[in-house]
Amino acid sequence: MLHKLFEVAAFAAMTIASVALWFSADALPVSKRYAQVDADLWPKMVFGALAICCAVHLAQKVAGLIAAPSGMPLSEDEKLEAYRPEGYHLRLALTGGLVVGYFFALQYIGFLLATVIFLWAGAWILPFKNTAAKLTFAPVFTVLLAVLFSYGLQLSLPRGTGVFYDLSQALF
Amino acid sequence: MEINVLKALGSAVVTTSVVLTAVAAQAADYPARTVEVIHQYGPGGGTDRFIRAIAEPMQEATGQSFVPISITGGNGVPAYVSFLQRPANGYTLVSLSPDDVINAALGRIDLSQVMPLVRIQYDQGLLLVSKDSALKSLDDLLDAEKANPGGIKVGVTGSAGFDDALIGLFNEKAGTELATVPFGAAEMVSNTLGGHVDMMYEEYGPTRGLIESGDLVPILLFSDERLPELPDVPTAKESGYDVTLGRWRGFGIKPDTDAAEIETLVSLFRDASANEGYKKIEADSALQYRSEFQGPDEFKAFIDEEIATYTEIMKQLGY
Amino acid sequence: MLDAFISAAGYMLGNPMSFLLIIFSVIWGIMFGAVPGLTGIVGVALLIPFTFAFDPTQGMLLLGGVYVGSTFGGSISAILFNTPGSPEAACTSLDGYPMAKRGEAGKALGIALAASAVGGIFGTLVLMFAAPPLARLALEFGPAEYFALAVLGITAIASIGGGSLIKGLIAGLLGLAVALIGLDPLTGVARFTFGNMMLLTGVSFIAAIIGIFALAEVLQRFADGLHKAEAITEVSTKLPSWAEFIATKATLLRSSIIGTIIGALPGVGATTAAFISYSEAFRWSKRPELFGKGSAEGIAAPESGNNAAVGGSMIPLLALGIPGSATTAVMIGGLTIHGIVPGPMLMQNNSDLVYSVFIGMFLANVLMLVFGLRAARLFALVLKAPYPLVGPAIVVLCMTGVFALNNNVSDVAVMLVFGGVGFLLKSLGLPVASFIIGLVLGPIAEVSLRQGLILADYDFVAMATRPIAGTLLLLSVLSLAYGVWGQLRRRPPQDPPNPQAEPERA
Repeated sequence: MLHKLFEVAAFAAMTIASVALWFSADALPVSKRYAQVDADLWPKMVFGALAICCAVHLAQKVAGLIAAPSGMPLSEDEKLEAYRPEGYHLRLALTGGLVVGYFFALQYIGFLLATVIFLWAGAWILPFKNTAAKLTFAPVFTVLLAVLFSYGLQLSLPRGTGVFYDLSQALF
Repeated sequence: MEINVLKALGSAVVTTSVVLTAVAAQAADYPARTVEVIHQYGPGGGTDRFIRAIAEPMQEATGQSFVPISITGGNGVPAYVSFLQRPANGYTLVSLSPDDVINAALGRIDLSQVMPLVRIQYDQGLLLVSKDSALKSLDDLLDAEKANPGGIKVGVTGSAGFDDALIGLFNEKAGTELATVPFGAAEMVSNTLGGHVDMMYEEYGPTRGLIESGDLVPILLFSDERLPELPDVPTAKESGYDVTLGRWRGFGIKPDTDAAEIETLVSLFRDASANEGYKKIEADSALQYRSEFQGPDEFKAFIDEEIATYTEIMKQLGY
Repeated sequence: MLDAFISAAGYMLGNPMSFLLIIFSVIWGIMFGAVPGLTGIVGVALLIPFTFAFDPTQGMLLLGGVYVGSTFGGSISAILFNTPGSPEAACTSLDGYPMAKRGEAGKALGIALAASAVGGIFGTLVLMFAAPPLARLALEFGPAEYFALAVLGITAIASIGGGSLIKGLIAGLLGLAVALIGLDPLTGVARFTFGNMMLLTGVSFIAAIIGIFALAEVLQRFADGLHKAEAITEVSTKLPSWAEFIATKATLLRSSIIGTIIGALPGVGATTAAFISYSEAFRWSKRPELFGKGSAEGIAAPESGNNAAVGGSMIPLLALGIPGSATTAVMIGGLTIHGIVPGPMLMQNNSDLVYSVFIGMFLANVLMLVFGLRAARLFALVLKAPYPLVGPAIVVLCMTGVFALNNNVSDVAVMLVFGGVGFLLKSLGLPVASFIIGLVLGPIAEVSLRQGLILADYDFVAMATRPIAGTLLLLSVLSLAYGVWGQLRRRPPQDPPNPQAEPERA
C-alpha cells in the first residue's frame, strides 16, 4: 500500500516536472540564425511526450488504487521482490551517507586520507569477523591504487584543498 | 606485468631525458615535477597534439613532463573553470585560443583571471569543397550564393565559436549569407565528402591528407598571403574581402604565480618553439608562416586586441 | 593486394617485437577496459608517448591491440560486478550480470568472449577486404540517415524492458531528457544546467552508467545485508557448450554486420553499435521475454556488435583519414606525430603499415580469446573475497576512475546522483535498458535531426524520404508495430482479469 502511494506520488511529481521543464525549454534564449531548429525544438518534443506518458500512467495508477485500495493479492515474485530484510533502510541510509561523505571528503582532504577512512568505515556496515583483514585492507588498497594511478598511469587523483593539497602534491 | 613493461619503457625515456637535461637559469628548482596543461579539446585533437609536440623539447630540457589534461565540452567553459580552481603554484597552465576569447566576448568567462604567458602557433584556415562539388572557385560560390541567397551550407565545428565568427565576418565583408551547420570534426569531413554540405571550414593540417589525394579541394584561404603549399588557392584578402582571422594557440597561467617561475617557463617555451623537432611538426601542418613567438606582454596586448575584434564580430552576428 | 599482405607479413616476421607488442597491448587493453572508469580511449592516449620509441607500424599495432582488448575488457567487470568497465559494455551488464547472479558467471563470460572474438574477427575481415567501398558507403550517411538510425534504436525503448509499454516509454523519455543537459550543440545555449558551469559538458555517459549499474548495485547489496545477497558462487569460468554458442549464430551475424557498419560511420562508435545490436537482437529474438534476465543472446549481441565496431571504425581511418570513433581520433593523433599523413593515400603510400595493422588486429582478436579467459579468471578471484571489503573498494575504484577520466569532480557528482536514479528506476519498475538507450541515442537523434532540417531547408518530408533514411525510418515504424503486436499477442492468459492491475506487473 505504502509502495503504491509512493508510486502515485513519484509519477505525479514527474508529470508536473515535465510540464515545468517544457516551459523552461520555451523560455530558452532564441537564436536568430537557427530559429526553425532552435534549442527548444527537441526538449519540447521530449518533455511533451514525457508529460503525456507520465499523466497516462498516473491515471492508471490512481484508477488501480481506487478499484482495489488494499491492493491485489501479491504473486510469489512480487512477495519476494517486496521482502525487505531487517535493518534494510538503516543500512541503505548508512551506506548512502557514507558514499556521499566520501565524495566530499575527496575534495577537501584528498584521495589518500578520504579513501582509507571510507574503506575502514565501509567494512563495518556488514557483519564480517576478520578484524585484521578489515584494518589492513584499507591502507593497502589505497596505496596500491594511488601508485597505479599516479605513477603507473600518470593520471591525477583528487588532492583536496589547503594543507591537504600540499600534502597530496608532495606524495603524488 | 604490463606495468613492468611500461616502467621499462618509461625508464628508457627518463634516462635519455636526464642525459639531455639542461639547467634552467631563472628558477633553479622549477619545475620540480609534472606540469599540467588544461585544454578544452579532445585527446588526439590539434591542440592536444600541439601540447605534446611542444612538450617534447621542454621535457628534454627539464627532465619533467608537461602533460595535456583534456576537459572537453561546454564550449571550453568547464576547462577554464577547472583551471581557475587550481592553485597558483606554476604547475598548472591553461591553453588559450580564439575560442576562449569568444567565450570572454560573450560573457561566458572572465579572461582577466588568467595571465597570458606565451603565444606559439598562428594558423590559417581554408574553405574546402568536395572534388565532386559544382563549386570550383570563389566566383562559383559567389554566383551560387547570388542565385539562391542563404542556400549554401558550410560545415563548421563548434557552436557559436571561432568558425562561426569567421564565416560571419566573411558574410559581412562579402555580402553573402552562407549558413553554418555545426558538426563534430569527423562528421564535418564525411558530410563534405559525401556531398551533404556544400563546403567546410578547416585548417590545413587536419585536411592535408585529403587535399593531397584530391578528395577535398581548397577554394579560399584566410590569411595575409598565399600558402607556398597551396600556391593556386587565393586569399580572401586579395579577392577584396579582408578576413585574415586565424586560430592561434598559446598558454596562460595564474597571475599571482612566482615571477621567476614565469620567466623560466617563458624561456623554456621560447627555446622549445625554436627546437628543430618541433619546427618540423609545425611545417607538416604549414604552421610556420604566421607563428611568431610572443612573450607575456605582446601576447597580452594581442589578446586585448582580439577581444575587441571578436566582441564586435559577435555583436554583428547577433549574439 | 596479396603482395601487400605478403610484404606486411614479411615485415612482421622480420620484427618479432611486433608480436610482443600485440600481446602486451591486448593485455593492457583488457585491463583498461575492465577497470571501471578507465576506458579504451584513456588506454590508447596513455600509450601514445611510448609509440615514439617504435616505428609507426609498431606504434599502430600497439594502439590497435589496446583498442581490441579494451572493448572486450569492459564486459568482464560488467558481468561479474554489474560495473561496466567502459561505456561500450553498459549493454552487457543488462543480461550478463543476471546470468552471473544465477551462478553462471563462467557461461556469461564465455559467451561474451566468444562473441567478442567473432565480432572482432568479422569486423577485421571486412576492414581487410572491403575498406574502401565501405568507407564510400559510410559517406552516404548524412544527418538524415544518422537521425533515422537513431530513431530505429530508440523505437526499441517501448518494448525492451519486458514490462509495460508505457513504463518503457517513460524510462526511455527520461533518458532522452537527461541527455538534454548541457550546452546545445548547435546554438551554444546552456540547457537545463541550472547555473552549474561544469554541467555545460553534459551528463558524462560513463559516469551515469557506472552510477546506475555499479553504485546502485553496491547500495542494494549493502542494504540487503549478507543473508539476502545473492552471492555469485560459481567462480570458475566454464565456457558455454558449443551448442549453446551456436544457438546464437543469427544474433552474432546480425550484430556483427550492424556493428561494422555503425563503426564505419564517423562520430558514432562501439557504444551505439552495442545498443543498436542489443535492441535488434531483442526485436528479432524468439525468446524476447528472457532479455534482461540473463539471456545468452542479450550478451552475444552487444559484445559482437561493439567488437565488430572496432574493425568498422578503422575503415574510415585507414581509407579516408577520418576517425570513426573517439578512440580512432586519438590514434590519428598518434599517426601524425610520427609524420604520417592520414588520408586516402595512406593505403598506397604506407601499405606495409596498413596491412600490418590488418594482420595485427586479426592476431589481437585471436589473442583476446587466450588472454580474455585468463583475465576473466583473475578478476573472478575477487568474487571470493568478502563483500564487506569488496563493496567499498568497488565504490572507490568507480569514483577514482570517473574522476581520472576528465579530472572533473562534477562527473563524480553525476555518478552519485545516478546511483540514486538507478535505485529509483528500479523501485518504480522502470526498465533501465530503455533509460540508457534514450541516454545514448538521444543526442545523436537530436543533433542530426536539426542538422538534417537545416540541410533540407527545413523540409522534414524531403529529409525523411531520402533512400537510406526512408528505409530505416520505415523499418522503425514496422518493427515498432511488430513489437507492440507481439507484446499484445504474448500477454499470458492466466493474468488477473482486472485490466487496471495489468500495468502493475513490472
